[in-house]
Amino acid sequence: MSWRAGGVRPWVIQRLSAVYMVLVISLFCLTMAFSSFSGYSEWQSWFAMPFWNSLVIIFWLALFAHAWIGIRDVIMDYISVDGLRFSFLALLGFYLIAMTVWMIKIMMMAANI
Amino acid sequence: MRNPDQGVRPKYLDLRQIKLPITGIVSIAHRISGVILVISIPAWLYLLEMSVTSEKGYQQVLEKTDGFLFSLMAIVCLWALVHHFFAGIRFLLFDLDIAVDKVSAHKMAKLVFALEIIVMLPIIGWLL
Repeated sequence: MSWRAGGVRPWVIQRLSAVYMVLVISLFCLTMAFSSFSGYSEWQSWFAMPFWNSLVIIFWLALFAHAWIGIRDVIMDYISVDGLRFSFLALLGFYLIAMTVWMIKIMMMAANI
Repeated sequence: MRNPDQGVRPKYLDLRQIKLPITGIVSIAHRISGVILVISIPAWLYLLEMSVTSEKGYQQVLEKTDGFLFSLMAIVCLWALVHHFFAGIRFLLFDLDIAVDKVSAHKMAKLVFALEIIVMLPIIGWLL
């Protein structure tokens, strides 16, 4: 089992992150549907609440892990030239790390930290 | 070693001659929608950042969503999200050995597209 090519661990992470995201998206939609949504202050305070804030941070982390495994599989399926494959994987890695840093910054700002 | 059948093999893939069953369409669309979603991450984060950091930014997000070009992109991204969501649940059910046989797999694929249309129609109506 290795992180780099297949194995059980990426398979499990892909399923766990999927289930988590399904739950959070459902919860988000239900909350939106049953709250009388009034605008910025409610939207902002919702993201500032420690419970939702951590739930959303974990959501994005699950999404980035899910994206890494998913796109990694797509790259390995369609790009057979070693150098090109490595470049795309590296690009994907940098992209997702940058997105993670940005996401943390946004969620910290939303929490007024 | 040469295969005697090699002469009759197609030399190239004629996309018009490949007829994908509905289950195959759900699968390839799951892959395509996943790629679209990953590419669209910066757009989601950009809107999220604007909407939670200031009242002005929140209003700007609402204004941006009024434009036709934005609506078009939003529809593509939201379709990708909705399809990936339902088709993904279908794959999770496969893991639990649910709807694996051919008949119910076809039914499930149709259900995915049906749910997708039910969710997307009001969204498209609201955005356009």
